[in-house]
Amino acid sequence: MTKHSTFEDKLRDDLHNLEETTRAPEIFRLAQARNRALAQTEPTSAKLLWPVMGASVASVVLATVLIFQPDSTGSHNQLGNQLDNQLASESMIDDSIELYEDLDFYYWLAETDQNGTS
Amino acid sequence: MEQQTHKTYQSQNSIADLAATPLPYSNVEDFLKFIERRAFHMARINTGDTETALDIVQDAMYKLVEKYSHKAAKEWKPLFYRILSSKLTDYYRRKKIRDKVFIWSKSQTTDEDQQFYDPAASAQGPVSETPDQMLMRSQRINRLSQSVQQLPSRQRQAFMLRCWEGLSTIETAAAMQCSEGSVKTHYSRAMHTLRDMLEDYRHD
Repeated sequence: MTKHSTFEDKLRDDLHNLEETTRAPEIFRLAQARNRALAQTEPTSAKLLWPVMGASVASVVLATVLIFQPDSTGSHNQLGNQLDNQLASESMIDDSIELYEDLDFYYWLAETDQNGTS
Repeated sequence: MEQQTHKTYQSQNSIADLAATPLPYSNVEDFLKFIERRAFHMARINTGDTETALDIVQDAMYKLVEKYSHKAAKEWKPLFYRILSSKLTDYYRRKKIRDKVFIWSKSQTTDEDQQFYDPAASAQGPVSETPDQMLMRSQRINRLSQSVQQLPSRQRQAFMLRCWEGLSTIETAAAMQCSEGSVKTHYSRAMHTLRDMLEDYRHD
């Protein structure tokens, strides 16, 4: 058992020494690889940041609009009434204008009726 | 210093010990710093190629951060080695297919760099070591590296995770996605083969 452990220990010791033989270019490449692996988490957070920020801003704007919107129900009704009145008066004016334009015809029609009946 | 922490942490293998011992890392970045060199050397021994090893380690790091960074720190190590193992398995599968398809240009497992660079040559032993001892150590590391490379992949995996990384049998089983019994068998066979291959360790 001791013999086995000694052999194993020697192997382990030498393998650990092998790690110390790593050359500078390899250490540099390993550091690059590590940084690349770690960097992959950064774009993900940046990608998530924009939609989250956009949604937050949109919800704030919507809340602001809903909370601070003016009470427009009364003015809506007033506006509707004004429009109705205006439309009614405009249609009356149109009728009156037609009446005045054909006034001679109506006089003639009335006279003809009177002469016919009398 | 970092290596010292690594070794101290490794000497405790049982789950109870691991639970009681404070981890030498608290965030993913520190964990990756803690594990990257070892993972790289494991991948290099497995693939025999520096570039491929670096790519595999990068993929494993990427996946750990992407999928498991929210998990508890004590789970990172088995998860990381599980990812690394599956990446290495993928590599072997792809290599096998490539070798079958492009039979005339069978891919080499020799590292171009290794032809000119001996990783063990710059091994730093204890300060008290003489140049002769340092040379012997570097030669031994080289032989060990080659011997581990020759092991069947599952045995190699079990050896690396149990002996090198110091994972418990349960953690190794989780990382290798097999039963504890299989881990014990693979590990025992690996040690047996290595003892035969590395005679000089016994007489050292």
